[in-house]
Amino acid sequence: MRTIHDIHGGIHPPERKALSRPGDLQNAPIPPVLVLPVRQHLGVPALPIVAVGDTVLGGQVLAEAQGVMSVPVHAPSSGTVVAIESRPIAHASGLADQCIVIQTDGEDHWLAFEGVTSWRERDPATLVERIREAGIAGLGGAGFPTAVKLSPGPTRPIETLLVNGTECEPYITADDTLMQCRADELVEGAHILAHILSADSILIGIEDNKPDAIARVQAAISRAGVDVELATFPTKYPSGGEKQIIEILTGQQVPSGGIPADIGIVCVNPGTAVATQQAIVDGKPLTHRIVTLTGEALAAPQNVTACLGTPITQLLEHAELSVDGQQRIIHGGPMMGFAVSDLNAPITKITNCLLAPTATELPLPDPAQPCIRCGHCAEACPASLLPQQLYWYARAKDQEQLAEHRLFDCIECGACAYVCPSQIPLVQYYRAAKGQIRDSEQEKRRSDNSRERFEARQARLEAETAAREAKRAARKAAAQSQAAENGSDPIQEAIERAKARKAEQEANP
Amino acid sequence: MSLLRVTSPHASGQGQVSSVMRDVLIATLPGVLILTAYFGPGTLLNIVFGGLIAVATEYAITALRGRDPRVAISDLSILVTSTLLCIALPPYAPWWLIVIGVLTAVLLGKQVFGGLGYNPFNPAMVGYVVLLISFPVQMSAWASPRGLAEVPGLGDTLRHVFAPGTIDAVTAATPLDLLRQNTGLLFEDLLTNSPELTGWGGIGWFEVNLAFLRWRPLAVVSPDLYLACAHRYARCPRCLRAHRI
Repeated sequence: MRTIHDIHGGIHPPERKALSRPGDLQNAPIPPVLVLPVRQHLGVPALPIVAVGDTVLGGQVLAEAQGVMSVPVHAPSSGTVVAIESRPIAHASGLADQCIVIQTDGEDHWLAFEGVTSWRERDPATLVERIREAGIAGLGGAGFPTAVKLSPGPTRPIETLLVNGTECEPYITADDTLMQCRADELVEGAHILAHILSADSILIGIEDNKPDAIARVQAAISRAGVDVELATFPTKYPSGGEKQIIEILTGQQVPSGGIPADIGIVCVNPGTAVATQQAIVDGKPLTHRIVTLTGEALAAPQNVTACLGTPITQLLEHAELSVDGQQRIIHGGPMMGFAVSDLNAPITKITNCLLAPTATELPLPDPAQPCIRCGHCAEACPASLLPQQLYWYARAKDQEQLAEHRLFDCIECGACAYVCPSQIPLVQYYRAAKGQIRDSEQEKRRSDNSRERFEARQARLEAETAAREAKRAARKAAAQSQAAENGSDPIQEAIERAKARKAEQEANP
Repeated sequence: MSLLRVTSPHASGQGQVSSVMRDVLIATLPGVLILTAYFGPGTLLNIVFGGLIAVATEYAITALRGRDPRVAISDLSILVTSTLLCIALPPYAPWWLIVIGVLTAVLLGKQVFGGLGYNPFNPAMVGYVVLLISFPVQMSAWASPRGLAEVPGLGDTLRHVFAPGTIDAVTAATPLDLLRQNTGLLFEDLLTNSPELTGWGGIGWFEVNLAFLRWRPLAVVSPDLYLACAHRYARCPRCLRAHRI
């Protein structure tokens, strides 16, 4: 039995997970129009390789990866490309991004795929390439390209593959549903990932508030007859943070500024493991994902498998959103999700939940009151930071002290703001401070660059002047030595010549 | 339908400043009860009278500063300040001592710095320090505890507080007096024989005097912890001997 460690802090917000009936998975209808952003992952956007007017089949590549930190985008259904243009996307900034828009034909024709069942005999490098070509990016929320995660390099040997089935955030049940409905694929996917990484052990961690998922995954492990460890641990938010679950299950801490691979662990979301299984065994690219549609403003909250690129409004309609007046639509969960600014924005690879709460369910915070230094935030912080100090330094824009107090170790989980009796939007301060620090670092880099440029120019000009001087000196020396050799002075001769010419002109006017 | 744009976290706990302050007030209850048990209703009167003055002052000042006074009062922080100060004052202190202390705490301790959350020092302790420096006689005039003297009733208490000087029966010899005037007895004998040092009242005296002698710094940090420690200490003769008291 594995020793379960506790992390510092954490909170127990109401879970509200039963609302979306985890384990019951429906298919969302294929929408008439799919909007596929070329960047659904962390990194470089993919490059469109289709043109407006092209007909495409399901699974066809629409945009190719550009470089290592990038993954391709595939068509989730058949239809015609009607536009490649800037459209609103679901992003905290509310900005638009380039999207490939497909008018679906309703036929849902697909390319034929070829899978690899004998993946154990395949070279890890080819499997990683397949995963990249399948467009897989972390489905947990960050969208980190999986192929990059699977290449930690020779300096970081991997001992453990950790499947993070915590899903600690309230309301969300997408991973819970996935683990219940796709447990066999999950176990095989985890094996493929461990094979690629040459990891010695596979560990699946699930919070103890998901007994059905735990039972199904346990059954799948026994069915597969393989060596996979299933660990359960007490429910607490935010146990599902990558660094947090690693500490809970291993007692080890990922170094500040480091990644789990530094201590021999690679951590993936269950959705990523299932997508990997489908990409390798079925040869199927990532075109769909499970999304939790929940909140009391929805008459039919549920979990659906939806095409990537489905506009948010379609899914909310499907779940029977009924509101008039003001409504908050949250992309993600109530703790870390962001409010959507345009309902025509599509869901992407990182959309695990759409939450439509009523005003009484998640009331807006009261106006912030002054900090009374009660210290509740420091007790709640899972990263053992001092949120109160960070708050004062963020207000004072004291970047040195913010760095000293490890602002960048903040995972923005929101536990501090949740417990704050003064309702101070602490996370907002930290995000702003991080942005300011990034800005000033960029500013510093820019000014360093221009200083270097200036210095290089100065050096070049000086070198040129010096070279000219040297040439002149050389000419002078040559002339002098010539004069010394011939017994005549060229300057004196020139003066003589000029005098003679002048005298001649005066003589013959 | 219009979309609301707010940042995460969207869920928030039930915590309020007023509930934090309410918890602090509840935590003072055991200490207040002990003080009342030993010294009678003087402490309670301090707290009620001081509280009224404090709330009135806070209300007036926040209104003058252009803030909503009801918001300022409803966070209960002003009651925490006045209660902490009034616990630390001697029971049956004259009314003007309480008024000066509370005004100092609210005005100089809290509001001049910008009110709740911006005070560099504990406002109650600012009030206490000013009183101790300005009125050392009144601040050290602790009444005799139950067992050594009659504990006054409510009527006597009111008269004593609001018409100081009309009653003089509530002070008596303190253990320190006893030690100063003692010429022949060993400390152990005194400890077991003198009424001032034994029984209900004697222990009460120890608590107060010991607290002042040994744990005053602690009182600034946590008045309740300080009372609790004083209580433990007073019940342990070995501790007393170790400190040559």
